[in-house]
Amino acid sequence: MNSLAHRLNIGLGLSLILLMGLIGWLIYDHNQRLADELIVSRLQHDAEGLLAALQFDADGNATLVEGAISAIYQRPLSGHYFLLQIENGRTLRSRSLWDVELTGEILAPGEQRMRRITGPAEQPLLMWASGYRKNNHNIVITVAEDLTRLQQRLLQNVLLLLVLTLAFLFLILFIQRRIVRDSFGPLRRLGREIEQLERGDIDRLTEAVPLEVQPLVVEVNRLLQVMGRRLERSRNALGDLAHALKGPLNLLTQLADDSETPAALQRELRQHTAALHQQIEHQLVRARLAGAGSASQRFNPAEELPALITLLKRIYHQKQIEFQYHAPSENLSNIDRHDLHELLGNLLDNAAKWAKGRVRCNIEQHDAVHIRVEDDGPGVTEETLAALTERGQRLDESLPGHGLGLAIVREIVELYNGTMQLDRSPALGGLRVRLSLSPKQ
Amino acid sequence: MRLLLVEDDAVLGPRLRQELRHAGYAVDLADNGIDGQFQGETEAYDAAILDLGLPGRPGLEVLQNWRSAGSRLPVIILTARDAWQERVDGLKAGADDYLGKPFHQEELLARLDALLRRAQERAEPQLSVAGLTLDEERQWVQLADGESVELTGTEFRLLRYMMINPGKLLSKTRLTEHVYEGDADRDSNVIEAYIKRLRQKIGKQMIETRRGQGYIFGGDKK
Repeated sequence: MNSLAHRLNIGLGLSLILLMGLIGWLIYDHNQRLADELIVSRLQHDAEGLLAALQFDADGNATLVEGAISAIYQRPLSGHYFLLQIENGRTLRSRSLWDVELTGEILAPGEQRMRRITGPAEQPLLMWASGYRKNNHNIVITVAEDLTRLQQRLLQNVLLLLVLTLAFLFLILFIQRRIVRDSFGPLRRLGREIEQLERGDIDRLTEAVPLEVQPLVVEVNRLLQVMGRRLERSRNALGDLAHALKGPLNLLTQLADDSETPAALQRELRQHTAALHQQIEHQLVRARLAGAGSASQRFNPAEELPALITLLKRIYHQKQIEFQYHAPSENLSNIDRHDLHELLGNLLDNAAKWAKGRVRCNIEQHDAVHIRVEDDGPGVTEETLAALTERGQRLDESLPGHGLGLAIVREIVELYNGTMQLDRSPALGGLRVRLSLSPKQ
Repeated sequence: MRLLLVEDDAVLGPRLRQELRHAGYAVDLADNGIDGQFQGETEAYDAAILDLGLPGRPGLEVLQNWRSAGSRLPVIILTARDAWQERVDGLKAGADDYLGKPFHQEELLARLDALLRRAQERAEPQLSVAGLTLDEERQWVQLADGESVELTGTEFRLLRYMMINPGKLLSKTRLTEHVYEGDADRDSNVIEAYIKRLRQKIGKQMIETRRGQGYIFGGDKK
C-alpha cells in the first residue's frame, strides 16, 4: 500500500523501538556495572579485613583472629564466602561454604582477578581474588558474593523499563497518528474537491493547502483554466464559423424555396445545399465535442431535460408527443454539458421524429452513466439491427432516415469510452437505444 | 398580426420580411440589437423573430432584457448557432422556439403559426369564429353559407386580428398597431375605410361599431 501515513507510522514506530531498545540496553548494562563495582568494592573491603585478621604463629601456621570476621561468613550457604590460600601452607575457608569446595585462583602478590562463577547451591557468584604477601607468606584471598537477589532486582528494573517503553511507544504512535491525520486533512479535502470538480460543482481547487502540495494544486488550476479557455475559444470560433457558413447557405435555401426560381434549378439547389448543410453540420458538431476529461460545465439532467423536451415539442408541434423521463438531479460526473446536450438532443430528436406519440428517456449514474431512449415508432428491421452491430458500420449510411443524429451519438459514445446498443423497445415497440458512458476509464 | 424581425443580414432580412408580408403579416425590420430591443419594448407586436449574432447587442441579451422588463412577447430565435446546448440556453433565456439556419420558409411559417396559436391559447389550426372560417394560406374567408371571398393583404390582417379577438372591444389605435407596420401611414380614417370594405364582404352585422371607442367583432353571434 503506497500510503504516506502508513509509511510515516512504520518509520516512526521502527525508530522508536530501536531508540528505546538502545536506551534500555544501556541502562541495564550500566546498572549491572554499577552493581558489580559496588559489590567488588565491598568484597575488596572484606578481603582486606581478612588479611588484617590473618595471623601466623611461631610455626608459621595461619589462623584468623576470632571475632574479626563478619557473622555472615559463618552462616552456612549465606551467600558470602571466602577462601584463603597460603603458599606452601594450609587453606582457610569460611564456614558458610559448608562442605562445598571453592576453586581458588593462583595469583602472585598484587595480582587481582574478578570472575562470575557458580557457587554452592547453584548460586550465581561474583568472585574477587587478590594476591597478597604477609609475613613472608604469599597469600591469595578469594571472596565471593551471591548475586541472585541483585540479578532479580535488575531483571525487575528491565521489565519495568520494557513495560514503560511499550506504553510510551503506543502513546507516541497514537499522537503521531493524530498529527498525521490532521496534516493530511487538507489532502482529503482536496480529494473531495476533485470529486466536486468532476461533477462540475466547482470550477477550481482551493489553493489554501500545505506548502508541499500547493505547487501541484496551482498547476492543476492553471491547466483547468487553460483547457476551459481553449475549449470555449474553439467553440466560439466554431460558432462564428457556423454563422459565417450558414448565412449564405440559408440564402441559397431561400432561393431554392423561391417560387420565381425555375424548377430545375430549385431541384439542383436543394440537392447541393442539403449535402453542404449536412457536411457543415456534421463537421461542426464533431469539432465542438470536448470528450471525456474536459474542464467545462457539467450536465444536470433534472435541470436540462425539461428544456430539451420543450424544445422538441416545439419542433414536432404538429404531433402530440408524450415525453416521459427519469433522471437524477445531480450533475453527471466528467461529462461535458455541451456533449451531453448534443447526445440527448440527437437521440430524443430521432425518437420524436419516428414516435407515434410516446418517447421515454431514462438516465442513471452509477460507475458509468447509463442512458436509455425508446419510442413507439416503427423501429428498425432485424437486418438493419444486425448490420448495425458490425464494427465500423457507419450509421448514417446504414440507417437511412435516422441520419446524421445517430452517427453523432456514436461519436460521442466513443469519446466517452462507452457502448451503444440498438434494439426493439419491449415496452413501446419502437427503437430502443441504450448507451453507457464511462468517462473515467 | 404584426411581427418584429431582428436580423442583421442585409440580404436575408429584407427577403424574409417580404416573405412574411406575403404570408399576411405586418413586419418591422431592425438590423441591430439596440434598435431591435427598443422597438420590442415600445411597439405592440404579436411576435418577434430574433437572430442571435447581432451587431450592437447580442440577441440573447436583447431577449433577456425584454424578459427581465416583464415582456411576454412570443419570440422565435433564428440562428446559425444551433448546437443543442445553444438551443436549450436560448429557451432558458426566455425564447418560445428556436429555429436553426438554414431553414425552409414553410418551417418558419409553421412554427410562427404554432407559436401564435399557443400565445392565443387556440388549439385548432383553422381560425373559425362566428360562422366565418379564415383560410390563412390563401388569404380567403369562407362565409357561413359556404361562399369563399378573397381578401386583400390589409383586409386579411384586419379580419384575422379581429377573429383572434372576438367579442372584445378593439380601438382603432389597437387595430392600427397590429395591422400596420411601424413606418406606415397611420391615419385612423384608413381603418374606418377598411372596416367598411370588410363589412361589405362578410356582412354588416359581423362588426359592431361603438362610437368613439372602437369595434367589436362577432360579439353577439354564436
